[in-house]
Amino acid sequence: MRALVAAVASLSTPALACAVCGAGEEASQGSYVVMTLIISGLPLAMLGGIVGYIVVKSRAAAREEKQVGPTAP
Amino acid sequence: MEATATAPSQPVPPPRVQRPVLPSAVLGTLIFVVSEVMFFSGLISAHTISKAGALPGTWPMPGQPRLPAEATALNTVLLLLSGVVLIIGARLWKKQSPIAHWVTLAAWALGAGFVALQGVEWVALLGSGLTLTSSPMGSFFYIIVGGHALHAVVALVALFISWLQMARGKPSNGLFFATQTFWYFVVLMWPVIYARVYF
Repeated sequence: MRALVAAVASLSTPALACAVCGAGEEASQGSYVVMTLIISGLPLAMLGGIVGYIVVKSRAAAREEKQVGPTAP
Repeated sequence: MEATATAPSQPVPPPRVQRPVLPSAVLGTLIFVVSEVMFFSGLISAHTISKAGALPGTWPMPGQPRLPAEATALNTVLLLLSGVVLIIGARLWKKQSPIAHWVTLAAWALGAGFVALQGVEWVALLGSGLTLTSSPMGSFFYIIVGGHALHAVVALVALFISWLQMARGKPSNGLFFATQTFWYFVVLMWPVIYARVYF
């Protein structure tokens, strides 16, 4: 089995099906890295922003209520 | 025979009124906006990587027009101005100013101007040979900018309904807040698209 895996690995070559894979590889790699970082961090940042905003607003509301006292209906 | 048990009367504390820190309409719209931001991020990511990997001289393809970045700067100013005017309109609305709905209408008109100018730009580009299938640049341009325009149109319809309600004196705060949130997303998303797609 190991011999088969080694044989397949030694025979395989990179796929060249993608029309743009051979062009601008360094620039592509940089773009991949940057966009991966952005797309990974963006949802966390946005959800963190919403949660943070709610926390800040609720703390401000609690402080206000403490100063004024419970509001009448 | 009656057996009435009278409990000792105690003062009933007034029920506490709980104000939401964030209206439900705004929270729902924000969650929707998060998913839409990821939609545009995916498209912009694919565009950036494709553009970086394109062969020299193929973005745009030979014989195809360059994107009109200078003319679109005017559209960009209109849209940003629309966002600022809507912020002013919302503040006036909170103060119950009688001109709040007119300011909101001005924001709507600026946004409609942006969409109309985008339409004029599209007609010129299609006439010059840049179509959805003519090149990868054309495909990305029409999908990303078209996706944004679709969001802008939906937001404009909601903003117009909101304005109608305000003008008739039957406003729905939930709709107005949600529409504002969505319009700010449309306004803030555009400079990112403009910077990435047009340059």
